[in-house]
Amino acid sequence: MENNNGNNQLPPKGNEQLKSFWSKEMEGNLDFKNHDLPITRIKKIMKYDPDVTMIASEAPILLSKACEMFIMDLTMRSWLHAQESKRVTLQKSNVDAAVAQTVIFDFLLDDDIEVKRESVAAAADPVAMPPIDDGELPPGMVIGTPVCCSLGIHQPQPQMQAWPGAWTSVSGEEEEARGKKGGDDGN
Amino acid sequence: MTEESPEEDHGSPGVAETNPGSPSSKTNNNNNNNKEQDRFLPIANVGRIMKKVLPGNGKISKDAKETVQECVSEFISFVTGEASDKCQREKRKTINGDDIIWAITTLGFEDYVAPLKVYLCKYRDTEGEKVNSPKQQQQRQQQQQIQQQNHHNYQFQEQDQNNNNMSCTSYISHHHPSPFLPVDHQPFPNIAFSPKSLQKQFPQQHDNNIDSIHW
Repeated sequence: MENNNGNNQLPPKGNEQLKSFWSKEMEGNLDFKNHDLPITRIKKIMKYDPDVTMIASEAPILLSKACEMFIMDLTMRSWLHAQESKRVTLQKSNVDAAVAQTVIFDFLLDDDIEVKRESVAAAADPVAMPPIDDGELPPGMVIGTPVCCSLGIHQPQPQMQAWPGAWTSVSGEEEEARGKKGGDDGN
Repeated sequence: MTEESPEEDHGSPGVAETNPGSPSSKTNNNNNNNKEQDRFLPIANVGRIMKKVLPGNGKISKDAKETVQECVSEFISFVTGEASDKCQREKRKTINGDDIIWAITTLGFEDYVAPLKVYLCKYRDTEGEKVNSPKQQQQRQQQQQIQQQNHHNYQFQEQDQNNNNMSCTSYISHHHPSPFLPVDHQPFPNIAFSPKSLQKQFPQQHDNNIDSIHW
């Protein structure tokens, strides 16, 4: 029985894509010497947790595989949102919408100040938000201070935070402008 | 396994990995720049993985890649924190592969678990080739203990038929006779632990009936 609530929120087409994706993953790449993600970097990130003492060699290698699946999972869900907008360039707003809409990604809402569920549910103000995000938080929302501070390096890009809500209509001009900009950044 | 770190790392490695494909989105002095980059996986690697699931005409904006970069770091910290908590409860110091799988299961990423178990079994098969090293022998012993926990995990999955089939298949294939069998069996007589010691190390399995060790 499917117990992933996130999947239930996706359209049937999305479910089929996700299921075929997991089937293919079962055949996954089993070459342990060539990793798509650097093991040393993963290990370093693991060690930021002061409670972490010793790490067996298999742990970051296994986690690199998990991260690869996480990235593909998040990207596929984001792409579903991009398709709803008839786009060929994946935007940050699509990623934010996928995070907000998927239950297993809720841990990203608490710490990542650039991804807020309330902002997705409500129509976002097209005007760029001020750099100090704390002032923009809805009443009652609590952010973990250490992680919030560590992610502060992305605040100098306030214009990136002005994006339309996933379920609200946006003006055609803004849509086209954003698409054009995205096209420039795409590869 | 050239990229493999030592079995147990008592300190952070001083060497920082540099990746030309990972430009910093922020201009800073070298120290800050290097430190900030170390908190994320390289954006080029992240971008390549993202492309795998997009159609040929799909493109990815840079800010989307950067957002996913941040999300992955949060994912690593999230899973690591959960696994670390489990180790502390069980009075263990080393986070191993099964702790990672347990944490991922607990945190709701059930879809990831079956592929990860296949991956971990295959990895341990590969590790089995290095039984000559005393350090590897110690690690091997640890893995055999973990195997019992794996057995428990497989039983836990009986309700999920698909996953159960895949897990059973990989579990069975893991125990097929293989060219490494004679070598694998050499160190076993030296492993001095009993079902009691297993119960001691894995208190949550106290109710399980582990009569024999499979290998």
